[in-house]
Amino acid sequence: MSKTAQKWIHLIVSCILSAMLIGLGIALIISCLDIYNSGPKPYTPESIAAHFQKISLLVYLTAACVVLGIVLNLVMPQEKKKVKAFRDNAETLSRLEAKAGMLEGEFAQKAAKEKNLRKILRLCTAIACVLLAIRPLLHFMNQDNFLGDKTQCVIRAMTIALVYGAASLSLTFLCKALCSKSIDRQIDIYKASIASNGASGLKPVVDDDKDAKRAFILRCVLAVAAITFIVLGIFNGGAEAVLDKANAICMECIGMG
Amino acid sequence: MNKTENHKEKTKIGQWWANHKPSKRRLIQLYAALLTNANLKGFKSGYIYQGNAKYACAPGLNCYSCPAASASCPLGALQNAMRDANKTIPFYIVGILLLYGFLFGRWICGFLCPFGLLQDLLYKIKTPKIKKNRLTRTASYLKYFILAYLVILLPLTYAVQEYPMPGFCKYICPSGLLIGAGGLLSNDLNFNLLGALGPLFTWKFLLLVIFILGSVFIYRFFCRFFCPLGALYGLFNKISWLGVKMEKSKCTNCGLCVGACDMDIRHVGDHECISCGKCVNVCPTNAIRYKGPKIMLAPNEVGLPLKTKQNVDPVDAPGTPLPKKTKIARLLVAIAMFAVLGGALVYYNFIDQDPVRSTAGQVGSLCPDFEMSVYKTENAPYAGETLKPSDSLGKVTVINFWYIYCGGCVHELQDEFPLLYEEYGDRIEVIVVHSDQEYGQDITAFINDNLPTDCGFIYTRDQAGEAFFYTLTDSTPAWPCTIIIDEYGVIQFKTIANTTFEELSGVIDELLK
Repeated sequence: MSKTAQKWIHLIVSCILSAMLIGLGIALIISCLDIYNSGPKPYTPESIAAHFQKISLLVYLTAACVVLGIVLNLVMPQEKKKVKAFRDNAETLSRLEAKAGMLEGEFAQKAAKEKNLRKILRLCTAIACVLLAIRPLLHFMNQDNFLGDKTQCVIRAMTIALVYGAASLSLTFLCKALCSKSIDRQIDIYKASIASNGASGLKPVVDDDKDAKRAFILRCVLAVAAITFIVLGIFNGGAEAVLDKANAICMECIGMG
Repeated sequence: MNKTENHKEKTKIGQWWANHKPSKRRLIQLYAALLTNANLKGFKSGYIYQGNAKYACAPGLNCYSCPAASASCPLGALQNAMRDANKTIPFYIVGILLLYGFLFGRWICGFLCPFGLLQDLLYKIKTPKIKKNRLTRTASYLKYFILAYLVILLPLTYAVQEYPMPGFCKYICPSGLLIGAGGLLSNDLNFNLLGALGPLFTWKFLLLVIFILGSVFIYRFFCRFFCPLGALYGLFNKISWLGVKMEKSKCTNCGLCVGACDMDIRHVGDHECISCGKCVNVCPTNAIRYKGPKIMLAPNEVGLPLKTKQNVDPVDAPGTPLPKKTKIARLLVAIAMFAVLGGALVYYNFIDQDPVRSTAGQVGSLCPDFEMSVYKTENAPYAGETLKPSDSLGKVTVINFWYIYCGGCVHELQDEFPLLYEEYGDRIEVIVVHSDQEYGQDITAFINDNLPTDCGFIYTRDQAGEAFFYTLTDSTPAWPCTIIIDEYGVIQFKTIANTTFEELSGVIDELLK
């Protein structure tokens, strides 16, 4: 079979399978909502089975399609796509910095300007994020907000946290995007400097051993802390609490109600 | 078929096998999933394992209410420890998380997490895939938000009210629903738990369907965007003992490593890296390697082969023979691993015994008579005495079973049961039975501070290993449980779930007629 035909077969099977899976997901959600709305409690295995009976054909068909997809992959494997490179521009910049050596004149001024711009951007974003975190934290610290219906309180608190979290996340990414643009501009400055003054021939200073040593020391500190904490936990009843909770099923905790 | 054709065929089969054989990572994942869920008999009996092995936490996300779970869940234990944070510093669970963090980091997500394995397998389903992009990178920070608010802040906030609120377990955790609730409900003998299903279950079922569907189209959908355990372990990734590491001195910044990775990493080994090893396979300068001992995993031995930039398949490339010492060490480690798994399977399935399922507490039968000791709470009737259900004959009696770590239990005692007193006063008897375990807590003080003590409720303790409770719940250790007994001592209503005033009053009204 030609490669084009194989490609088409793969595409058709994967599209059918996607449609069936999405359909099955929607059917499952509708069935669950249907069971919930149908009442009356308590549910019985028979009443639940009766609801899911309606979508059984779809379940079997989807399962058959999944198996077909697996068989197709085994019999007619698709060619692996070529890996697309993803270069980190900060890394490129550090390499170019070393390669270009000390900048002079206009190049040095422009590069310093970009560096300062990034510093200011990062500082402003950090301050804004801290300020944005205060409001949800204050909400969580005020016990009056958590009296009454627990679910309502949690929904309210999480909504506030999400809104402020989304705002700080958006700011962070705006800052990152601006910094990335700034790095690109600085890369162009270094490239222009290399083009006019030539390369210094240096490579960025990298000390893998130093990183490894630092990681080793941190690991040792954490090992001591972890073992100390576990021993302390055994004596202050923490271990017992873990066992006791694990041995009992809290219906609410596993999301049953 | 001549000799050359035969050889060609063999090579073809060999190539096919090389491309389709399970990778070492997959085998380790399967091993870890089986070890974490070694109590397979639980699926048959419908009981969870209740032995001492649950002092230990499994490293991955695996609900401890799953009938097969052999150890505790670190996230569940952490949220539970937060409930007591105003009294006891949660040293134990923090120590365990630190230990796993510095030893393994997110290597756990890639190799040991059963839910990670499930997502990996779901992603294999043949559908078009949504690759990583700026949006997924942004969304990957959501898990830190969930960790901060649902796992730490929310339980801490409710700890002041002495109310257990495992926010993540209750509202998000797909493992709890899939293998915890799902595992229990899949057994016909637990049909009495169906009474618990309600809005919370419906919400979590909806989320579970989204997580499962998402994992088919997006690589590790739950792991990347929602898992707080991954977020926590990710903080240790750079210093963890196991994982992947890049030697910067060898790196040429070709960008193939980040391009080949399905996770939202920006650098090899950063907080998003689950050490799957794809980058190890594509690095043209061998700058990326595994940290830690080379006994189990050496460079280019993980995952299925990927084409490198130079189109050289590492599997086809002539391999360097391993030193004899390493070979022997690997063999010993493999034997030890199989011995541990075999031992665990034998212990959990053949040595450990499940309780005998009781059928004495069915609706319509006489309530079994067990002794309960009455707590010395404020305004307590019968304080310090020993009671039996038969002492309440002649009155409609509501018996509620609860324990201090059960949020739903505390909630219904605080909000629903006082309404019974308002409605019926002394016409009914309400007996509230705490578990025999005191969980290192002062239950009397908790009742005085947090539960209604001016309603004439009799707060008692279920003596002798919660024999009364287990008899009524058919030996399933699921709280809360409420029963209503008529004036002749016959059980007329039973629910193993949170109940409401409306539900109870409907039965009581009938009995009082």
